[in-house]
Amino acid sequence: MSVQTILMLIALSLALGLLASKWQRTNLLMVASIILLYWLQPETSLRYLGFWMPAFSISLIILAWMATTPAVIRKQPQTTRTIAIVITLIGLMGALKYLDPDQLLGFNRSPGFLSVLLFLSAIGFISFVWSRCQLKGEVWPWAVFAILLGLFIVLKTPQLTRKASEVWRFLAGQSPALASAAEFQWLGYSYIAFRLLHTVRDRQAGRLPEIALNEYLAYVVFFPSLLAGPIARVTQVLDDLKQPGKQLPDDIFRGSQRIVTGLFKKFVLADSLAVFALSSQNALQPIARSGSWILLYAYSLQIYLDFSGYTDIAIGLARLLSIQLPENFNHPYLKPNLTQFWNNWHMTLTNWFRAYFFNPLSRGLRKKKLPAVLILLVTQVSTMVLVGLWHGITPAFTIWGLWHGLGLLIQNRWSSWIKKYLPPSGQRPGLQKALDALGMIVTFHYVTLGWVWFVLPTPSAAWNFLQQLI
Amino acid sequence: MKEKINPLRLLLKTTLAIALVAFILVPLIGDSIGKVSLYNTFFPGRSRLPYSDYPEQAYNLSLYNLEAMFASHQVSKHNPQTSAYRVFILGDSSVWGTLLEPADTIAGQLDRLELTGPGEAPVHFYNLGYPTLSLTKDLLLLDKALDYDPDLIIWMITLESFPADKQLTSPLVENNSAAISRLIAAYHLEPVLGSGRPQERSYWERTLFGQRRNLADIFRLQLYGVMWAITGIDQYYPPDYEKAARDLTEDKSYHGWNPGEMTEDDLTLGVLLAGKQAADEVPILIVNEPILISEGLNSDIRYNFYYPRWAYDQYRQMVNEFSQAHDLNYLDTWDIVPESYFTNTAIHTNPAGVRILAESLIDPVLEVIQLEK
Repeated sequence: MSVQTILMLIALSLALGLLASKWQRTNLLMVASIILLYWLQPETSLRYLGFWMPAFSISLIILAWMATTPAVIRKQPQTTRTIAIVITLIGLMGALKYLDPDQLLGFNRSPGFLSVLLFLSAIGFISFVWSRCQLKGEVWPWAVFAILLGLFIVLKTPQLTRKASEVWRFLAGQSPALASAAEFQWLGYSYIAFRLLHTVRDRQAGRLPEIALNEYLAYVVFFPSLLAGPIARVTQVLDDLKQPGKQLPDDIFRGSQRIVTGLFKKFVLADSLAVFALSSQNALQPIARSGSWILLYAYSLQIYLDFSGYTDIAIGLARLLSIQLPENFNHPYLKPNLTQFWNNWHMTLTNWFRAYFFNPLSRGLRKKKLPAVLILLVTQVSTMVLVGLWHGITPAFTIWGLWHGLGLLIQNRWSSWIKKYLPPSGQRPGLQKALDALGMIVTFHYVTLGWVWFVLPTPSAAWNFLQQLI
Repeated sequence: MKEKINPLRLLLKTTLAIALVAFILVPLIGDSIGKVSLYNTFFPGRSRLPYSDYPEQAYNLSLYNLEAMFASHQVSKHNPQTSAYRVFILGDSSVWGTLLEPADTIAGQLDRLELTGPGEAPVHFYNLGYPTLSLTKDLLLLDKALDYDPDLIIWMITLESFPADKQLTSPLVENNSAAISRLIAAYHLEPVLGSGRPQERSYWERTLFGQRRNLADIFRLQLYGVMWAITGIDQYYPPDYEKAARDLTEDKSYHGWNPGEMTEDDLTLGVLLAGKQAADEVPILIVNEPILISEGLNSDIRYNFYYPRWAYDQYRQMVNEFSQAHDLNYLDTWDIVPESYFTNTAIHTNPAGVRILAESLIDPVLEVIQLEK
């Protein structure tokens, strides 16, 4: 996101924050988020992708809501009103081709009147029928789960994404031979899918509260956290959505502070470090070992400042709307061990995996009476490999996941072993501080070395670079 | 107890501070801010002046703040106590070294020869070439270079740097209007350059807002210093390039002049004299640099893409006569490099071509140094 886009979002958030504190809060946030879903969707060479991807996102969200919401809520008149608003909005986006032929609003991706009309009729019809169906049993949540996961696999596997691009080109009348994975972009799908999967699993566990469709849409496509999270739980956002901002001046002040911090981290610090941070271009260029280390340290700091800067901006923007998003980073590089690092790095993602994968898997394995070390090995490694695969289904991300999974296991065993030789907590504070400092240095370097697998495109490139460090 | 922050007061104070810096401090400091540099302290100085159209690949960029350009160059790391001779080489992209690594440029190759002057003092060569063709741009750099204590200046020239219409269009000249105006006034160059002037910067252009691009460029130059120090790369080397044309058009004209129409007044020879006057006691050796002499189609009409034969021959004669008339040290090396050594233009050669030129300069350079002593 450019500074100009962020400034525009700040202005929009301020205006919406003032307006939505008094009137139609949820609907206003939903409408703004849907419009921004269209506006922020990148334009690629794939014809009409810019129109259809946001439309598919909205369709998936409606589908997931239908599958996770009791019939009594689905049948409420509020649902019909929300569907009508959504159809009108998508229709308007489709009509921009005719309403704004000079592209003054910056996008013109409509596939044409007939396609839009057919799509909107389909949404309207399916929504109407489903809102009146009973949809009993577990089959629908699982079906949504499978669709979301399937799409995830396609979008995160470069070969499959390229295939999808080929199919898209064929359907759009473009040359499939020119297809590439990079052109098949679906704005915010990762974060949308995580939120939807969270609601589907909570619904299956009976933990999901009753949510109106407009609240659900506003939560899933909430524009401040669409691109880089954090992945808030629905209940966290729902409470703030239902309560108009009572302390708006304070929210504006705190939100602004947070945005300024985020802008500084992202556009001054991270972008400066990016000039000499490790990349596939510069990995083999250093003439001395020290140069390779500088590239690596710069990358380690850059990725943190970039990501946490965006998170600060997202949290600040949400605060302008009187919504408190959860924190995502808490000084992760200052933590004395890898477990604590992961408890403080991309916290909402870690919590998500803990809640919906690690904990259920641990419980399942414990029931089988397996040795504790084996349970730990399986759960830690598989969770971290999944976190790696979330970034992309490639060998390099898999190794990065393994690196952290094994690191967590080794650290766990080491902590258990060393505990026997250490005095009880609080007796030797000096020793504890020294051990924490040493742990922090070791953890930072372990994480930093792990980034080599993350940033370089292939395991062989990463291995070559790691050899340069020795 | 922690004092509660008053948002309005904070906003007012911040606005005042920004206004003070933007509208008073930055215009007062002006271009001198470029003197603040991490080069030659945190990173090694660059071997050539900053220039690139591909900053992300070259770890280098084009900027126009002369102070920052020189501060980033190794020429600014100078201990006046040392007895070494400092030879600065000025000129266009052939001196700067397009497609050449720093050590393969003319300054790099001469420096590698480890020449010694009187008293066995080492002679060091510094690359102060800059890739645009304009004698006035060279004069601007020469004038600035004098602050860095040269013992000899080698000024590499070619005809394409001489036409009046080339003088003020170099971005370096356009963005240093105050210095150019000063040079024109000091050396009475108005009759030579004509009445055109680069536009002077307005007050608004000198504020933080007007200077934001320049300041950002200076900041980026420091950042790229890290990559320069780590990799030694300062130029993007394309995997392939289009070779300079050997087969030429039938066109006999040069800059709109037909054979016999180009006069001494059309070429800005007076700028050479201004350079000599500016250098004062520092000797200058003017060298007509090698050009590609084609043997392809229409090579009986033109030497290369740039030059019809008549114009270039006439230019050589004019510069020769002008040098003699004004007692300038002049060396003509126009035909010493074989055609096959030229790379992407009619003035860029490969390292072997530069080597030939370097060897031809050894004696004249040592002679001038000897004479001065």
